[in-house]
Amino acid sequence: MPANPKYLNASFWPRFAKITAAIIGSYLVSISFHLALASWLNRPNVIITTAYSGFIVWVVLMVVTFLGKSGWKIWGLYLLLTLFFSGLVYAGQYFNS
Amino acid sequence: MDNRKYNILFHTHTVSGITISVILYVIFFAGSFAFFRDDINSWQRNETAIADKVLHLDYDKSLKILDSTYVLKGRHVWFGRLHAERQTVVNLEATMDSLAPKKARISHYLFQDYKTYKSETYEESYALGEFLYRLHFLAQIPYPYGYYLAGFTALFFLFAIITGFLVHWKKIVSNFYVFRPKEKLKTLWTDSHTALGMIGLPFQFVYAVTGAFFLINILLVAPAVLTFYGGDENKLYNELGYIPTEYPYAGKDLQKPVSINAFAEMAKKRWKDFDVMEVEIQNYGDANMHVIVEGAIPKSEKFNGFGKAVYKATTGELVAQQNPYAQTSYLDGVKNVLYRIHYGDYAGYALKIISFILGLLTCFVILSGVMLWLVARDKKSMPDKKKRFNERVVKIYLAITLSMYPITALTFIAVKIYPQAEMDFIYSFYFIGWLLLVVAFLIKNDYRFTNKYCLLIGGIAGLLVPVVNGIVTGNWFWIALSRGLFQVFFIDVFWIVLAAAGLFAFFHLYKKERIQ
Repeated sequence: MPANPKYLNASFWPRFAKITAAIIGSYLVSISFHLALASWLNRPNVIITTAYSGFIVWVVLMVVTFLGKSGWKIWGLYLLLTLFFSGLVYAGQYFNS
Repeated sequence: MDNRKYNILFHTHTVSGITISVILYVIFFAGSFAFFRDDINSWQRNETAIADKVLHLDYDKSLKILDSTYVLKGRHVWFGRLHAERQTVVNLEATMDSLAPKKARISHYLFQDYKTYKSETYEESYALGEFLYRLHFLAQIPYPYGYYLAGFTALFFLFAIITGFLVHWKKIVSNFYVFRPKEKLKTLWTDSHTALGMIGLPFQFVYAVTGAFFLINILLVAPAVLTFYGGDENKLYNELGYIPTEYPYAGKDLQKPVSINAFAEMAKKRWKDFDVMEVEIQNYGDANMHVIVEGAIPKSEKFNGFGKAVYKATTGELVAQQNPYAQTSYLDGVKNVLYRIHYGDYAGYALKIISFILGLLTCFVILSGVMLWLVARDKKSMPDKKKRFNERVVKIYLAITLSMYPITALTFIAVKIYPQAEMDFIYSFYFIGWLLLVVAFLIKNDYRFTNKYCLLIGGIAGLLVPVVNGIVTGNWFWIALSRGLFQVFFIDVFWIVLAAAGLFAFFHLYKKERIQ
């Protein structure tokens, strides 16, 4: 039995928002999160750990994105998170270089 | 899990899975053979090598021979046994001596046989094992498109694994014991897809994560390089310990010749059971020549037990060292594990055979998923046009994927009948043959026929592999074993077992069709 279409986004733009948030948005969050960790903790150790966790966090967020109600809201949330982590990176460069 | 979530996960699992299925099958099928890359190469050359990564080389003899052809003065020379083959990898960097002859300024990447000391270029040493290994990350598609295509396939494979796992979450335990092959076709595909998918899950998870890392790590590396290292990736690799220390070139000649064998021996004796796996000579023949000997203690003793000793050639003084028995840093451990768990080369043939079986099992999970997709849409409510389209898609998918088995077996025969087989030959035989099979099966237009005849042709060709090898080289597998050519013996027997399993499946299908 294929999935019941009543639970899926039928029209183009909501779908577009979800797919882009899943692939690009999740990537931005995963990367900025790891960079934030790397700027405050032991940098080489965090970076080599990212080899595993970078992709895993990215893909887990992809799954989460699809479960969300609105793709646009998730985009907003992801951009805020990315901004927040980038702020941590910036602060880390400044105070912890 | 509510209905909405379940249906979304189910749908994303289906879409991601069906999109990557063909490429993923190619990756897993070729990748399964790639576990035996070194054995296949040795088998093709009709020789055998000691199954380890240890250097079995008389360095001084090797250097003397290399010097006469390539002029080593002022070069960095690197020896490593990257594969369990007779060929040692030798990397000659361009010389730093401005007075050196022209030919010393060309860098070389060579393969030197540790028995005959004959050197070959990469193209000359190219063999079927290397071809299948490279096919499993689509390296035959021009760089970087093939790598990226395979890398993103691995990434979305990870997505399909996680969504698939969540979809089956509630029924994992109960469904694991359900296998209804005789009920109807759909339950056969469902049960095998979920049960085998579950068995292979940890294996597939590891390969998806590491595979994505090998091929599209640039997505992780580039942001870090830009943020922390001012765009200079060498700085990052230096901090991660991938770049060895450089000793400057003095520009003065080395007064009396030194023996690299002696340095290697010195490092070997330094730690108990230490095996030498890499030797690098910096500034060959220069007053500031350095010898870097790297290796490890057996994995049974310590999984991440690498050691390193750096000697200054003129004085014999130990400049730097890493004790393999000392505690391994987190960084080194993680770096090593990343590769070892993907290559499956830390526990001998047993692990490789298990990995091979799990790899083929993954191929089956992929195909049963495709069949499930088709059968689930074969309903009265579905418009005929859509049904025909779905069937067409599955026919093409099956023609491409299933014909890999016969064409792989046939290529093993071809390289024995035509022993000069080099890169071009293997490329044309494999890809043109594959295309012809696909076209033939598409003309016949019946996926049951495709399945049956792929099993039959692959099975017969597979059984012929050891026969052709026996006739052409005289090394029938029992003779090969008695002559100590273990890798030749192994690949012959490997094909007998694989082909027998394929033929068993063929006769089983055939019998069932006759009864019906």
